[in-house]
Amino acid sequence: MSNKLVVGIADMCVSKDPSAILITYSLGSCIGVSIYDPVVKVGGLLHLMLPESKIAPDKAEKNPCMFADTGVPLLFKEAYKYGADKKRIIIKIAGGAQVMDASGFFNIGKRNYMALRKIFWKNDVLINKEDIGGNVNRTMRLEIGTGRVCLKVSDRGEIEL
Amino acid sequence: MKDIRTIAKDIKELPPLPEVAQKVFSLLHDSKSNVQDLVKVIQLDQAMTANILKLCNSAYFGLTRKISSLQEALVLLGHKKLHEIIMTDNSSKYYKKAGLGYNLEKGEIWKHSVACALLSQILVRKTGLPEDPFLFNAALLHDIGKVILSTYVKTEYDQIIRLVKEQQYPFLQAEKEIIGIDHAELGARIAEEWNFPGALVEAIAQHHVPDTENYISCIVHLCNLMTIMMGIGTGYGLADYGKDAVMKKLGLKEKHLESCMVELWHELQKAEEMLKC
Repeated sequence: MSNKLVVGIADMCVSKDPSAILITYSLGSCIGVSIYDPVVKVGGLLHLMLPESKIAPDKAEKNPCMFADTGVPLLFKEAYKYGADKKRIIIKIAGGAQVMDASGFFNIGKRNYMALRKIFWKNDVLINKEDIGGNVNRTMRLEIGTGRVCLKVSDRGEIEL
Repeated sequence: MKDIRTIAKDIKELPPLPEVAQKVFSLLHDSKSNVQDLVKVIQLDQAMTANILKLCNSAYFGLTRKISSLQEALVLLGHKKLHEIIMTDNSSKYYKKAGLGYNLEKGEIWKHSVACALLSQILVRKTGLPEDPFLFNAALLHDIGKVILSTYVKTEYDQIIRLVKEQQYPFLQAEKEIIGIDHAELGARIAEEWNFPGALVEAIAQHHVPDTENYISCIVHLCNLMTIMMGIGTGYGLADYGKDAVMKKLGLKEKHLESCMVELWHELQKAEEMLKC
């Protein structure tokens, strides 16, 4: 029996239960960040909403998962508690969509993506797989037992990342 | 293409908006009309009274003591909030049915509508833009056309999506091309049928393509886009154009949108009762 754990908007979950499936629905301009250590079989999923916490530092303190710059460090720290090792962690990201002509004001998806790249680059880790952008909506799922990450994309159906 | 007359018949068959909602509109129109009249109309309906009191006592309003009468609600929350609660309670039944055709789970269009209505108030409050008595209602009811169109979209779904996927049509335009009418236009016709004030009819009609001179349309346009970007009732909603001209006209920047989205997330955590109603 699998154990489905739903990750809400601006929420995260870390698990080492091999029967756990972490799932997050309806990623629009938000980005889902999945991390997984295949040796200790620990994984986590974060659903971040906005790039930088400086827009609302008090709110970021209450819920760090809302922003890329506060959510990602927290995700990694939680996974380390369960024995994950930075060198082994596999990172997969999906989401960051936007409206059709998001040149300026409405490009939150793109800015979320740029913020993530900057954080990973500064911390010397690589994004292993990604499915970013477009004007689609995505559901993202991480299986803790296998490390498999699957997406349901509104215009492509179910795919493995 | 569908026969528009069939859809027009569907509008006539939609249960009318209750008298109390009509009363709210006349109150918003005419500051001299008496809010006590409204309370009297509601009191005749026990179920509605109970529901409204439940909403008033929900975590969202954060009242320190439990209220047990509409009079108390009026005193403690003020008539603006009471109007919003009444409209929320009266609109939910329409939205409950819609969704499937738009590739959304049951209840998602309702959640999207409540989120838009809350966001309209947050946006005005946080950016110092002028308040408008019809704004909450326009944001709450902007997708009312989907209630009827959902069935037709479901039948023609593959054709509509083909236009969106293969020819990069915005969803609204694909809807219009395949069905002959889009949900914004249809929503405006419903609003007319229900004798909504002109400003509200226009805002519903224009929520995807706002006239920058129409203030309510502009705000509803932004609230719709922001909630869709946040993943609330998204479906194919990102196949749409965001209007930069609206941002410029209202003097808003990206940071305003972002901080309003943060606030909305926090308000939604407390709005469980509203989303259930």
